[in-house]
Parts: sequence; C-alpha cells; structure tokens
Amino acid sequence: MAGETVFVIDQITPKPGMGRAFLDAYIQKYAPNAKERGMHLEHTLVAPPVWLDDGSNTLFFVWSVKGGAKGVWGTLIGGRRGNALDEWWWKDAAPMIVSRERFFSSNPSDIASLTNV
Amino acid sequence: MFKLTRLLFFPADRATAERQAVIQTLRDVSAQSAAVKRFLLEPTLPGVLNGGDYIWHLQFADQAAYRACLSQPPWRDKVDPLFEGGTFKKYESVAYEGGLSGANRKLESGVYRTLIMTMRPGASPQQIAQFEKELAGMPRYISSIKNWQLSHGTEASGSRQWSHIWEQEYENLEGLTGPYMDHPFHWGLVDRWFNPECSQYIVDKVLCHTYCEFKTSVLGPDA
Repeated sequence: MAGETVFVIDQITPKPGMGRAFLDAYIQKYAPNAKERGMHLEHTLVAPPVWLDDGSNTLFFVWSVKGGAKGVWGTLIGGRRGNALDEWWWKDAAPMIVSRERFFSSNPSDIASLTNV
Repeated sequence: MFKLTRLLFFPADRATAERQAVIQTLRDVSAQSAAVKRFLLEPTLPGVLNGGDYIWHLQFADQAAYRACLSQPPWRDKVDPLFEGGTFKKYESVAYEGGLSGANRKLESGVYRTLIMTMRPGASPQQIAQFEKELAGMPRYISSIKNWQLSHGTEASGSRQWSHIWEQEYENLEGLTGPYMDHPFHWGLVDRWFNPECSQYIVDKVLCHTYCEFKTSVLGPDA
C-alpha cells in the first residue's frame, strides 16, 4: 500500500486551430503549479501529430502521482484548496476548449492494493 | 422520515457553562417533543470543515409533524429565541425528506457524518443525476459505510441554500478518515464532481463536512 503510482490523464480537445496555443497555455499556466504539488508530467501527446488549423487536435497530458491515495489527496486534492488555478481552468482555459476529461488511473496490478483501504 | 439538521457555531468567547446551558435546552426540547422520533445532539470532532461546534439532527414522521413541532410552545419559546438572539455566531440549517438510503448495520455507537452541499449555477439535471448516482454508489464499494442516506433539501438557511445532504454512519472515525477517504471510488470518481480541475465540477466549494460520535444510530435499520 501507498507505494502505488496513480496516473492522472487530461484529455483535452481545444477549439479548431487552437491546439498549439492551448498546449502553450497548459504548460505555462497549469503545469508549474501541478509540478510544485508533486505531480510529474510523464507524457505530452498530440493527436493527430500535425497542428490542425481548421480542426481540433486532441491533447493528452499524462501525470504520475506517487503514494497511492495519500499522494492523490496530498498533491491534487488537498493541495488544490484555494488554488488560483481553479480560475484558470474555468475562466481562462474554458474559452479555448471544446471538451475535456480527466481520468484517474492505475496499472491493473495496483488495483488490489489501492482498493484495500 | 422528515429531518432537520442544524450545525451550531458558538462564538469563540462563549463560556463553556453558557454553551452547556444552550445545548441542554435543545436537548430537553428534543427529548420532550412527541413529534421528534429520534435526535442526535453531539459535539463535532476535530477536522470538520464548516461543520460547527455541534450537530443537532432531528427526525420526524413526516413534514407535517415537523411543521407542527415548530409551531408548538416549547419550540417557539425556547428554541426560536436561541436562533434569533445572537446565541450562535452562525448556524447552518437544512430540512429535508429522507431520500435514497441503505440501512445495513445496527450500530450501538459509532461516527455520524453528514456532507451538506449545493450545486453550482449551471449544473444540468443530467449532471446532477449522474453525481447522485455515483455518490449513492459509494457504499457498494466502501465497506466502512454501514448506513447511509442521500436526500434533497426542502428548506435551508446559512451559507447556502443547501440542496443535497449525504449522511453516513461508521463503526468508528477510522472508517471515515481511512477507507472512505482513501478508496479510489472516492478520489478517482466521485471527487471529480467537487474538483475544479475536472470538467464534472458542479458542487459548490462552500459546503459543510461534519461528523460526531453517536450513541444511538439515526440511520441504521431501526432508525
């Protein structure tokens, strides 16, 4: 227990033609604070791998958080309270986004220990 | 069952004896009102969030019995003045018809927890329905939740017009602070409705997360 890695995956579809601008905003405005809270950015992926100027790319940000449930609460949830970045998500980023989804995930082999609480 | 929950916040400088006198008055009225089928009046435990110093929770047969109780002299003469006269620094209040529930375990004692909340403007009925479905799904995965109920507020006052009341009973505090908080069904699914970093975010940040010990179950099979 508590040694598991939780992967937090942001899947974001920016508005047509805004893929690169959103990527820059995410990396500059969101990522530094997330890293300060203990999240580690493992992968940044763009689909399709060409910047679309008349359509929407889909961006994937794969973060890892160490420490299982305690790690998630400490870095993502407890650490977010009063966070000014909430405003970024809902006021600054929102106009650039068609849709977004965040997934909390793990390796299948960690499910047994993560749920044994 | 119709319910009333009030979270009581005393001024920091209120003397212990004065607090105890107020609590005793509320306890006496609760115990002596025939319309009150069951009640709980206990100090909150450390760690509550906007949870007050005491949880006062009453249950009535139905809404008519609740309203009749509030119109009776003991309530009008002894209870109402406390809530109108500056006795408390503030209080949060919500009255509600008991909603979807699961009463699985008769508990002689334990920890009662209630989460009182409201939705952000713009939350759609579909989003709220999915939120409620996932919230009510927690006991299926988190075995430390012995008894529970999810209800909608009928009337409310305080920091918000409270719309949702999520009550649970545990055998002990560890059931809440351990398995409930740490289970992935909580932080990996349900918490997204509370998390501004997630697109599902619909629960207002201002909420009441509070809990206390109980000596008589208010959610169990006999409750």
